[in-house]
Amino acid sequence: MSAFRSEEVRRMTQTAPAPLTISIDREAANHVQVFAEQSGRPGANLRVAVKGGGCAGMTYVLDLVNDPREDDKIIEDHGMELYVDRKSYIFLAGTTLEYSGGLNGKGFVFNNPNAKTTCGCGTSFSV
Amino acid sequence: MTTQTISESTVTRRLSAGAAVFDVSHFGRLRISGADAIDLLNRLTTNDLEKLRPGMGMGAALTTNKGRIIDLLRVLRRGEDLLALTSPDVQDRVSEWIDFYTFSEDVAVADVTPDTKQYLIVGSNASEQLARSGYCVDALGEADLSHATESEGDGEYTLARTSFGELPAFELVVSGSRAPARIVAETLGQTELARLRIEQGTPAYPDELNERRNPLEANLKPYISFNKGCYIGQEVVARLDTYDRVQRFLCQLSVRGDTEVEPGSAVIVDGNEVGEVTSSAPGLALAYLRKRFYEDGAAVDVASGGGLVSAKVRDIRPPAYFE
Repeated sequence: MSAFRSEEVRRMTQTAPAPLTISIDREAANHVQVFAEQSGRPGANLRVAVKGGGCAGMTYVLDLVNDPREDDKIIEDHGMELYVDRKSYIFLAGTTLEYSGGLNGKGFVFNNPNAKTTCGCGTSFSV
Repeated sequence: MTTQTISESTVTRRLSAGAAVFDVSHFGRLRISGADAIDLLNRLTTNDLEKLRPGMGMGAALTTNKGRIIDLLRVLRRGEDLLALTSPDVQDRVSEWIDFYTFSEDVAVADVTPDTKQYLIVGSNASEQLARSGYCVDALGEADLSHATESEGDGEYTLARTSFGELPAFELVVSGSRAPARIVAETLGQTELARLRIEQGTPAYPDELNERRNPLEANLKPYISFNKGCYIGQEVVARLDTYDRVQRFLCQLSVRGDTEVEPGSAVIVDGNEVGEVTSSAPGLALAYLRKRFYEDGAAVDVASGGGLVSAKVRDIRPPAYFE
């Protein structure tokens, strides 16, 4: 294989986009586990979803749950499972769930690449 | 110059001393059911639908995230479902909008427009005429869109009390064989209805209610709850109201003589365009007018038919704008 072909193949494989998934960073996962223990449900997992409403059109939903629903996408990350229904997944693909702590922190923060605009309070978004 | 005032207008005067039936079956009707129907619709519209109990109803605007109007819905909470009355030809758009924002909720939307008929009964004698025709007027409360549903034979009807501008009115939705001919009242056509709407200053889709307009400029403030919490478009609507940023309001124009100006015509003051006509009938029009020029009785011109036609502004904003 020529050097040119090798470079082309390398570039193509490098620039191929990774499948969009939803992830949670370590600090957010730790906080979920703390909340689960505080609410008497140690080991609970996290439902991540979207629902219609909020100023901008869609709002984020987080819920502690024990089991997935049928047809949920199940994502394992940092020792826990995220359950996402398929329609919410369309609007959340690529999102990283982070935690902003401290006095000025916002709590759980969705870094969602699909969000074109967010409302003033940051809890809803449009696509 | 003589201008026609609303008290001199023909259809209003006829119905102030009587009643008439309009066939409005070309309007849309959606049956919305499921345990989450009210919760979801409340998140998509301007009014506080959570307050609805069976037999109650309210108007609520469906708005985009930019606070623009998709439609003004009249939502009736019946026993098992919601009946949403939409404007003509917009029920598909409303249904698709609700479906787009339905994720895991228990909500089903069915277009019952083809299976039902709808009548608007308007006039000071409307209540008596309906009672005489055997409809359950006595079962209705006094509030707007208070309603009752009764079964009869293979069908049913829902009767809702409402108003058409300043005139008493009822909406009647029937399915099955219940015949509208049973209503003992004069039947009027779409020309009279269009005239009446302009006389009463009632905005309609798509002329006044569309995605170029927000509910505050379309005189829909009575259908907005400012303390219900978030809904799509709420941030924009609340900001417009709080900071007094509404740029124009819907007004009525009494046009000189019987001139029928063309919708889309510019409203002119001192050579400057200050508004736009949206609907018209002979001697009367509805127009969006810039706030600075919105004054009851103010003289304006309308650029129509290659010339300028004199007109006077009538403030038709509902009392909610002055509270």
